[in-house]
Amino acid sequence: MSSRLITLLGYGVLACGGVTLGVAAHRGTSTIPTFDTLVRWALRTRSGRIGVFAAWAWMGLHFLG
Amino acid sequence: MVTLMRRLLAVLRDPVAWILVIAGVVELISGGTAARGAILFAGAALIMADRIRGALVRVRVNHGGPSAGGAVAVMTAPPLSPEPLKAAVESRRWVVGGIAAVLVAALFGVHTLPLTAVTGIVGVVAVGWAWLTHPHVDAVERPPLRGLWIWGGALLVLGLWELGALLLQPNMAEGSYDHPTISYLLDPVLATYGGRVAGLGLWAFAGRTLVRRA
Repeated sequence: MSSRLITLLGYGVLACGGVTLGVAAHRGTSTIPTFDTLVRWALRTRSGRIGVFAAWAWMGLHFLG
Repeated sequence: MVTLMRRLLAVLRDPVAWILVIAGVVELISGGTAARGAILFAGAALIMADRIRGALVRVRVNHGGPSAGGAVAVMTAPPLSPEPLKAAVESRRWVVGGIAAVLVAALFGVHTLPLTAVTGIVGVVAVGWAWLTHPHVDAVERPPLRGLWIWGGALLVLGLWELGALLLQPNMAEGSYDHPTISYLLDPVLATYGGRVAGLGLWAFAGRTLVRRA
């Protein structure tokens, strides 16, 4: 198995894990919060707001800018 | 004075500021542009400024100090309401304008001056807005700790996997076919006009969602 395939499999597993978490979170009885709930919670303080918006701005600059 | 110093030192205990500083350092040593590092360092600086502002306000309230002037007055001014921008991004005019802006901006290649300027200016305005406005007043209940750990762990593993791929590149500035980072994988997609429209559109949509949630 090549290094590239292992790296890509890692991303694939993490993506599947993220989707699984998202699906599990949307079940009413789950103790796992939805990503939306997580973001809302992070945005409740000013340092959280600045952190989330700085991360978002960085993503734009990193991938596009 | 001792109280003020203790509160100012509390700035150093903010984990979000440290995360941004570490991310900024990684960005710079991995060959990123100054603008990318700067937005992260600016975020950390604003968090520290906010903590200093809070300490100054508390000292003024506790000691009934004289009205401050200059920079201190700006620092201790009450935060603005986030509602005007939240209402604006809901409007059809902003949505149509945003779509038009994405379609025009995508005409330029990634990592070119026009796109750096667009994403940089929008990002700086958004971070500044987050600093100047007060958080939403409705109480947000803390999600279960177990759930926070699970999401935090997943994001940490993703970050470490990406960092591993970055460190296995021939050098920090040169991508590797064998150990691709996410940006290396996305570069061919973003080299096309359609890919840039999708990328910019998703980024703008995420920003609009964040403003609505903030």
